[in-house]
Amino acid sequence: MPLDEQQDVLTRLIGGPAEPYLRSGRLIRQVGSGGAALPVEGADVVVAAHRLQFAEDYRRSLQEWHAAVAVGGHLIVTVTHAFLYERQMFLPSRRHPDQQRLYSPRMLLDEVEEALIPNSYRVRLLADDDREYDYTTPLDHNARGHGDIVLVLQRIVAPNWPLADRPPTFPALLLGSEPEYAFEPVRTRVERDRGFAPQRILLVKPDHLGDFVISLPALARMRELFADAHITIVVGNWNVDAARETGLFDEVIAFDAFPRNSSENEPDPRGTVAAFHQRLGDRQFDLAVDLRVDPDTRILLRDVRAVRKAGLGTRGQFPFLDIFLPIDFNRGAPDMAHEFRFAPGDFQCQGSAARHGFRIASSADTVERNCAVVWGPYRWLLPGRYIFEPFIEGRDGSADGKVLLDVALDTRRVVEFAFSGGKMPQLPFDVGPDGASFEFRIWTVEGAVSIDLDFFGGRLIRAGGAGVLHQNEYQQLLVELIRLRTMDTGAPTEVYDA
Amino acid sequence: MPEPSAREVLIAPFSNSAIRDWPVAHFRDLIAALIERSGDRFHYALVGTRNQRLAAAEIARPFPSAQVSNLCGKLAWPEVVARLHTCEALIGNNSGLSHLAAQGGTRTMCIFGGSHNRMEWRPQGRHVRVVSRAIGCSPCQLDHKASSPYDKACLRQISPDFVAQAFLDFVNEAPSRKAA
Repeated sequence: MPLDEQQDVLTRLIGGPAEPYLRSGRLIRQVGSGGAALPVEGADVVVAAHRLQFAEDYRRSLQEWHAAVAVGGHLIVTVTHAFLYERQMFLPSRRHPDQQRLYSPRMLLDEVEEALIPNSYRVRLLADDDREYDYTTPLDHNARGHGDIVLVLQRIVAPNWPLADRPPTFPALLLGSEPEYAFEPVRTRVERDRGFAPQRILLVKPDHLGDFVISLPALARMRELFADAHITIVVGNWNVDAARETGLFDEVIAFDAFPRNSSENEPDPRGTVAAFHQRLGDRQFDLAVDLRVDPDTRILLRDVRAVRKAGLGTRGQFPFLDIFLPIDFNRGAPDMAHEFRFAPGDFQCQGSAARHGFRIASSADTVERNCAVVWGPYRWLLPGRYIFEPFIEGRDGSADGKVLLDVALDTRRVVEFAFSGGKMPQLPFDVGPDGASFEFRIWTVEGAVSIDLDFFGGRLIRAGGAGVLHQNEYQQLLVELIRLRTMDTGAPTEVYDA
Repeated sequence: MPEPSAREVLIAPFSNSAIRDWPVAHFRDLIAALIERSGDRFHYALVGTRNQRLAAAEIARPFPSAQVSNLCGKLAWPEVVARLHTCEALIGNNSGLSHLAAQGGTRTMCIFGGSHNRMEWRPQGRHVRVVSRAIGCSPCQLDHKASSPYDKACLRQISPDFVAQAFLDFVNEAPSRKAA
């Protein structure tokens, strides 16, 4: 850099916010316009005045200048201020067409934080230098006075700790290792989705007339989706004519996986597998679908010569399925009443109540305060409607004797019954949307004669609720899944691994 | 700020949950491997939020600013979406940007961690490649990186070199959606 240019740079800094740092050391190096590299370390002060804005690679420039500063020394970077010197927000610069960037103070600091390793420097000064700036200068004239951003960084020795994430909660013994995979080797894999266009489709629908009729929308949808495919359907003999009349299938195969009258003869689809394959002969398919919702016929697909197989259930249940719609095969249960049985061992007792063989017996001889003599079982209940029926018998009836039976949810009593013997009571209650802990208790009542009783546990009944789809809906969902996996997103396929 | 271009590879190194994020150092090594193998074929742009900018700087720091840009916090959302449509490809974690890119037909390479079941949560599409680790503890369903008993081995063990080669194979395979 020519001496007069050097002097001009330093002169501009004198009297400005960076002057104290300029005078902080003896050895001052300046970044020249020629781009010559500075010697590494050694300089007390490195000055890069109006250089960064022309640097194509600002990261490398800042890294080199910073490396040229001795530890404890300072890097002074000045750039022209976009709002003062340029008085514009977008390139190109009117005054320097080869300028790469315009700067605000934040933008300058952004580049520093990006370029330099954290804690290898400290920001000692970031300031606008608008000394003698004439804010009245019209836009069509170059502004007079200083219009710079001044940044001073002090180089420090980076500490020996990195910027860390939150420490792990597990012991170091496990960290850095990885668990063995029980069923296949640990490896990295690459997968992609692939679709396919089945041309030969097998549909299995061996159930009875009503089931076949319910499945017609799903069967029609299959034909709609695969208009040009050859579709074979397997139906019971009783549905052959109905299948042919739909006009949906290229081939109808009669096969009785079930007896014609299932109420008279025990169905055993699994026992027909060999006959089924014999019936199919040498036929091969691109896609075989079991459209029956119940799982008992899925086995028929296992050995079918098909590239892909689809059905309801999970791959865990049916490993041969490529396209599967998981459903809960206990789906009927929510529609039925659930019954839970509790034994005397599920309850605690004290006082006048004691265990005798397979019962808890309570004596009327002891008159006690309000006291729970039997309590339990503390089970968490789902929301719903319940009835608890304690198995309780009064051994010796007394017109005045009584105990109090109650149910508590989360320790709060919700229903009670004064029991004097006789018919077993039923205690109805509701559990709210958050669920609750269920407790049943037998109390002696202060001031009242108790009764001799035997407690044998109880029965908790939960009312059912609608939790199923229609058979037709299950089948149509399966067909739509087939559409997604064949024509839309496709199915995941491993490309390669390492 | 670099203009969008068909040579641009967007790198989305952060999701909203650290347990799903490939290590920062791996992203950095990935870019290094890609530059080593493909020279100046691509320009790499890191995308993310303003809060992710400092962490993204750790990735960008060793590379020429002309070839690797840190755009975290610099793009408005519509600009991000527009860039997804013009770029060559996106490389990201199991994150919203990966899903958005995949849905839009952009070539997407998703580095999928073991916290979630990839069969259920992976970005889908014919232009997607999912890189994952077959590992015994997956899916763990953990929410926090600090909870991982194996220090996220499911992601840590996916090597940058492997991903770099897989990515180059991917982009060399067939014309992109935009070229077709």
